[in-house]
Amino acid sequence: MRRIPRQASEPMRFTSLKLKSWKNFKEVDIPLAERVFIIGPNASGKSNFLEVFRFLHDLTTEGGGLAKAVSLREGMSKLRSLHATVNSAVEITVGMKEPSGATWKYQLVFDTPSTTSTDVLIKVETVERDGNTLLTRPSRDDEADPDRLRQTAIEQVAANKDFRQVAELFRSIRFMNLVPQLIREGQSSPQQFPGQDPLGRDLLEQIRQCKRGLRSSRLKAIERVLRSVVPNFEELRLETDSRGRPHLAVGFKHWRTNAVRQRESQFSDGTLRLIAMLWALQEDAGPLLLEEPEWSLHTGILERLAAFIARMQREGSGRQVFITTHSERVLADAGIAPEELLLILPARRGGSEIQPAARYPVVEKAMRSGLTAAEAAQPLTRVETMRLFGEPA
Amino acid sequence: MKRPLAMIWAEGFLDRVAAERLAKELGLRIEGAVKDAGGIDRFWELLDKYNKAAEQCGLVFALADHDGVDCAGPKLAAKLRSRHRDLILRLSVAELESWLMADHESLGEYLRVSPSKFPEEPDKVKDPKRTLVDLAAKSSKPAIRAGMAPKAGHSTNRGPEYTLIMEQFVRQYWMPFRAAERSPSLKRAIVALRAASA
Repeated sequence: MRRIPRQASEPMRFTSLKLKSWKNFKEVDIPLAERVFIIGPNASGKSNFLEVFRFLHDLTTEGGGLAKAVSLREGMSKLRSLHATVNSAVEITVGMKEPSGATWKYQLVFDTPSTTSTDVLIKVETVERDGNTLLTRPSRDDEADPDRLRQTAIEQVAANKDFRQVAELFRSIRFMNLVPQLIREGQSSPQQFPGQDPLGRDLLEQIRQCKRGLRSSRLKAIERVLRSVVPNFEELRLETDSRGRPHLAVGFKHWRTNAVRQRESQFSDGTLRLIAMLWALQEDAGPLLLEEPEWSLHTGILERLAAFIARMQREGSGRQVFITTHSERVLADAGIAPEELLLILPARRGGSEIQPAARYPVVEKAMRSGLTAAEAAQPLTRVETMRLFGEPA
Repeated sequence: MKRPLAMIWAEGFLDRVAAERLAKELGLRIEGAVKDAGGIDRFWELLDKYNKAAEQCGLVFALADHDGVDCAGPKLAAKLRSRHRDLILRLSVAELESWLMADHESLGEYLRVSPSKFPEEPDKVKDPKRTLVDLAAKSSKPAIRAGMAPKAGHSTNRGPEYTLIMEQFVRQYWMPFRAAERSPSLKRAIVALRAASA
């Protein structure tokens, strides 16, 4: 608490999600907090859940669109829930809130015209702002020219003028599943969408391109975190080598010399992943999807991770964060509210269902009384206890 | 020459940080593992092992909240009977937060809350964590209010940065000796640690 943190303006974010026939979820209807933890057994669909937001991103990004977003996922047969009625359409509806308080709703229902067809056609597309409808499709034009139903309005600059904010929110979604070796190599990558490499290959370049003042304040914030968890850590800097390539340099206090310096090639995987994550948390950007960030992170980080994320959200960008995790250490923070915790459990009729922990009265009460997510909720996702567990209220 | 602590075994994260701080304040070197159980059940579950370890490797400082003891009643009695003299088992009354709140001056300044609002006898407060969070909610510093108090509509008993904010307080600002003047249970813990390490 050495400095007065900047109270960031809260950016536009998602407030709710409805799904029908999406991957292994037959039906989903949930509210979304600013910081969301997603827990569930292996292969229960944690990644499929994040995939919804990646889909919205691919819908609106340059070179994207509905057809591309579906084909990147190997077509409708892979997108549609196996547990849905045959050939039911896929539906995604998201609720959103602007900093001003204005609320938005975007709904998209799409399907193939026949079981053998690979075409993807829009069945419904609607946009609402504060409850007023701004777009309803199919429109008369769509009925006159059904080919128009191959493209969503949200993906077309000419058509999304009245709800550009929503398109921009979708486009600003970022997925991260960092591979430390690729950050070290720092090579330009064969990316589907530039500046969005989920594996972190463009991290060093991104840091370099950031304005000097902003860059140094972000690196300072990362320094503060590292100092509290890495023994003898002293400073973090961006350097450029003789060929003009950017490098991260870390200085450690040492008993023989003033400081020992290391470059990213010598960092541990955990340190590099942590730096990348803390950088991303401070970017002025849209929702951040973190897939199992615990991988290779030290226990000292894990037990403080949830709080670090909350702090970075408050001091920095305020960007919404979705985190899938198995880590008991991460979930042992009693500051995690049941409203921030999504539980994926097997559904009665096959597939999975996802519910906020707050909808399970026992879990909600246990967490209200001070038990942590690791104590009150995570044990329910163990395979042997799942079937015994009651229905949400 | 003071006897060093071989290990620290604590109920939770903040208990562990406070146990380390106490050791430091008393000038006790810690030679081995400093670990927390991440919950009261596991704390009692493994206490036997630490009891046996104390016999072999010297002083073990075990710290937990007292409020978890009721449910562990009979088990605890059995464990205490067989306690090795080098296992220093201390329970904060009722929670660690009462020990922290007992240092009115440091905590008041750190949280930006008038020390006059703090309980005179923190050991007698029934729900110290809640009392602490309610006090922090009155802070003049927005970062403290946002970090310590639960967000509107969230069913938790503390805010999202509680861990970080209180960790920093314990490590850098808490003065255990001053706190011990208002918390008899903390005073007893300090006396026990002193006696064992002498």
